[in-house]
Amino acid sequence: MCCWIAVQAALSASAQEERKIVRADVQEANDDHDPQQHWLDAQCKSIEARMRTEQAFIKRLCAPSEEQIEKMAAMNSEWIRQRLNPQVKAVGDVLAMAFGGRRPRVALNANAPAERNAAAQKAMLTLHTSRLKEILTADQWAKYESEIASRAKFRNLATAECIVTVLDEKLALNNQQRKALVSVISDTCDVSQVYAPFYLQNQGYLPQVPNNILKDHLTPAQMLVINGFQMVEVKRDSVAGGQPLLDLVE
Amino acid sequence: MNVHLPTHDLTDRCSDYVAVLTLVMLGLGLALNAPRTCTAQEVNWIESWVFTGRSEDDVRKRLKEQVVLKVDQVDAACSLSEAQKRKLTLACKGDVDRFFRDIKSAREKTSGVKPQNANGIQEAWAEIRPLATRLQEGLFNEGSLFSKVLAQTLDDRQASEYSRTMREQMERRHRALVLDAVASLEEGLPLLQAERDRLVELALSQELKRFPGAMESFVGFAKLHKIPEADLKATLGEEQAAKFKQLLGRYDKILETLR
Repeated sequence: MCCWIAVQAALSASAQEERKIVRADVQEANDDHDPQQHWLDAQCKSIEARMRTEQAFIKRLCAPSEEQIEKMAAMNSEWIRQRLNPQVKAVGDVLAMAFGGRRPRVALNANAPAERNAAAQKAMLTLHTSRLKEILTADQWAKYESEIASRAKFRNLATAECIVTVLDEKLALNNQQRKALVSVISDTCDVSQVYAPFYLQNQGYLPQVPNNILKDHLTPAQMLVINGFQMVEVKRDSVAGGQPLLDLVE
Repeated sequence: MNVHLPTHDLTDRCSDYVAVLTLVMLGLGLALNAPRTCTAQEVNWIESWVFTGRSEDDVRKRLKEQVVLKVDQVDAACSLSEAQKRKLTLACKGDVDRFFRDIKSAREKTSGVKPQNANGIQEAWAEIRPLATRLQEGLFNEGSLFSKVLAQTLDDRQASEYSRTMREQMERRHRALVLDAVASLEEGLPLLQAERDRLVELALSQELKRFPGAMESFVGFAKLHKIPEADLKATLGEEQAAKFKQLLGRYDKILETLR
């Protein structure tokens, strides 16, 4: 009997060992073909391209030294990967726990939702900007900061102009209303992510503008008309509600 | 500094899978136990597809408000007499009435179509689609009774003032599209403030021969595309001008139709 128990125990231990090896193989195979890694690759490529564009702009704007150029160049695809990878792995671990040790191929694949991609890009570009601040001299940074502020302001103004054009065609605004609305929307609302040409093309829809702004500048008759249209939010990169999926942690 | 990717949405997703699976199994059970004589749910295709969820009364009310606004718009542009206002109001109401007559006819043709009837739905969509487009684009555009009556009602002075107002409106629209195109372009080619201002100025001065309605959102890019190379180089420099051309190159085929 003791012998039989010993044999069974040995067999069981061996089987367990075998299962561990198989599981490790499967895990390794999953890691090799991990869709999360594909997502990372795609993100690194796209984020690096945007960082390079910005760095080329800095070279044009404030003639950085060789050393500064080298430091900027060090923010490459590997630099991005190092910062995104730990969290991608952490997500994989949580999923592995939920699915009994296996990593399901559901999250963070190369075709991840646009909002996740946009959030990753936004987070990494913010990190990139912080690093640029460390690399550039105070004067260079001030020059660059002023240009990026002017670019952001222009983008918001461009969208505000489109939005007011859409409102104008539906409500026959007068000059004063047009000017006031462009000014208040571009100064007080962040509309930079709104895809304005959609509304110029689709007459039945209006962009979402806060009601208090509209009330202050439109007549009651115009407000009545505006309520008859469907207000929808169409974003340039479909960032859902501006809710960041990636947060920066110091 | 590190990047933190919250995981709660993914664990939520796992429980979503369980919930979805439960629902599917429940649905399967109900379907298997459903009586064979179960009648299909009636669908109001007009409300769903033409009025996008609104009721007919609501749409009628909104269109009535638009009639008033449309006539006010012309009045503001070229000062109408009371008689002219009445005529134009009647024309607008005629367009609205004609639209609802067509709605009534489409409703009769599509009322019996069940959601399970794929061919029926296709036929209903063919019937309904032009009406949805008409409502979407506005009932008082070119070809409408309003536009015909307007052309007959305005005297020369009024016609010229109205046409000037419309031209100004189109210019504002094109200016907005140029600004938007430059802002989009800056994602790939950031510009210095002075370059941006000059580029907008140059683009706005370009004339386009034609711009079919469906292509209008590309007007901004088309105007940028039309800037003479010499002006572009003088504004951006050789290297940046080449990058600019390369970026706009992706629109080449589309823009050809607008030049």
